[in-house]
Amino acid sequence: MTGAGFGTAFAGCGIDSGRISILANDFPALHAVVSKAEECAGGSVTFSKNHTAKHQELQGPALTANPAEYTAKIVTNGSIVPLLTDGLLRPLDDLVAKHGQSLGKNQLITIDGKVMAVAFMANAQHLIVRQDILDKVGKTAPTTYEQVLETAEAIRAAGIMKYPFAMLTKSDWNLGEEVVNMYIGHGGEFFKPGTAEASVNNAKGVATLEMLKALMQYSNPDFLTYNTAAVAPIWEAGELAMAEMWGSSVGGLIDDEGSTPAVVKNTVPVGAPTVAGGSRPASTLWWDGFSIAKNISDEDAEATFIALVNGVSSEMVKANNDKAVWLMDAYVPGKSAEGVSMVASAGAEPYPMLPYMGLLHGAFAAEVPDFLQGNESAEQTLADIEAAYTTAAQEKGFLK
Amino acid sequence: MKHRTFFWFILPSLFFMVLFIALPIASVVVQSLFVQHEQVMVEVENCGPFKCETVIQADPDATADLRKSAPLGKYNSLKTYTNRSHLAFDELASIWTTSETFAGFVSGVYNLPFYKALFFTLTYTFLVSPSFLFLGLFIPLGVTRLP
Repeated sequence: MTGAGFGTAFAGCGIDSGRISILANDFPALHAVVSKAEECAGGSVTFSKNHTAKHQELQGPALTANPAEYTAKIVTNGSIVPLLTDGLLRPLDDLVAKHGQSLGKNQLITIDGKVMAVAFMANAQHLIVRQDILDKVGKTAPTTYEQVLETAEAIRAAGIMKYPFAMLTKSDWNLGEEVVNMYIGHGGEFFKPGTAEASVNNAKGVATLEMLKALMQYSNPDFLTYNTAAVAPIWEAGELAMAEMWGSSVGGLIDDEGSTPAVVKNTVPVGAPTVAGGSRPASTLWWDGFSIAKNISDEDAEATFIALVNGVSSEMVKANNDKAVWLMDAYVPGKSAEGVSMVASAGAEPYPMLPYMGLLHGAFAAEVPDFLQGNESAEQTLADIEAAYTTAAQEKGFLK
Repeated sequence: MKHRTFFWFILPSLFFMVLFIALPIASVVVQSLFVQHEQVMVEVENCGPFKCETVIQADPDATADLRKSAPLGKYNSLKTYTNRSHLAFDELASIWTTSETFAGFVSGVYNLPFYKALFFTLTYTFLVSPSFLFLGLFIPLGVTRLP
């Protein structure tokens, strides 16, 4: 108990007491933010964190409890929506006014006039290419998915690689995201305007699935296990020529760990391809930010907020500049940020923040593997997606 | 054993079995007849790092009021049991009327999540488990008979 008397001395951020407990996804940029926030622990300030890829399944039950298991959740424009729907987050206006002087206006996520989250990084999926391999087959970096197919075929025909391409097609949230991106690239609308009724069983939906299947011919047959953690080492081993990856993972690919200088030197981030003659890239814009639970004491909320403001400080940005596209002023964009910037300037749309989008995303993830494995037709798969979505949306009260 | 002694002997165990097994099962059965309340939707102005836009969002306060007045949710009778994710009565009927061959019917049924899982479980029970049992017995028996 010696620490208690020196609480203020230990806690470097001006917090005397309180509970800070953070739930977050598991990738380097978020580790950097949460670890920086952890520096506020000490004395009678307790700190705990949980970085897990299953954060989205945990967040609802964990924040519904009173007091909530976690005082903060690192959210994205996708994962914040179920928490807003269930009213599990607290407005941050007071805390921003009191402790948020260092935050930029563009960082405040304002919903119906209330600040509900503080964004600290932008993210998007885009293509990365190996310049040396493209040079060998005499191709430039593809700007459309049709060119991706041509280039992949050229690389295969030249005998360089049998499976030159990968995207994040693990049969979970990842594959759902690829379907969402490709459908947006085709100019598709997910819902009948103004309603929660899915409308993906159409020509654009068929073209989306057919394009994904065509691409998977050039991806290792293991593609249904491919998430970032699986594809990054394959890229670093030099066994891929083109991959669709998150901007936040590019920094790890071009650092001096885990790969050879030849691969690193030739790893080039490019924008997200368009598809089927469309002008909008087949990708969605994301932000990651922090939000604070409603069912906790005001004291814990304040302590957590101060710690997380410390987590996104200029000091953190300077120490971790290339781990993400940070939204803070101290950020100096480098090579790893080029892909995300290109996606944003090419006019990509933010991921739709609709309360029932998560259910449709889940239906994509559950039904599309059957199609990619050749077990059923595109039309059948799309009909199954709409039916599975409708059932889920009825259970959740979004559809009658 | 006297009935009285027996009763006191099993009482603690009976009590906890009712509390932790029987009551939760009853509670699940009751809850299975309900689904979530219809979400009250509102249009809100939503601003982020990329742009401001008007989006539809659920109104948690209005939904919370509904929940307070009827905590179990909206009564749905047995429809959760018969919906597409489970027994899929409507889908079965439509597959039966539209499929021309029996094989077409089977493949249509196989496309429904519950029946797919059921086929899988039955196949496992009647194919994999018996083979395990018989091969597990006869292979060692055969091996012991080798000279």
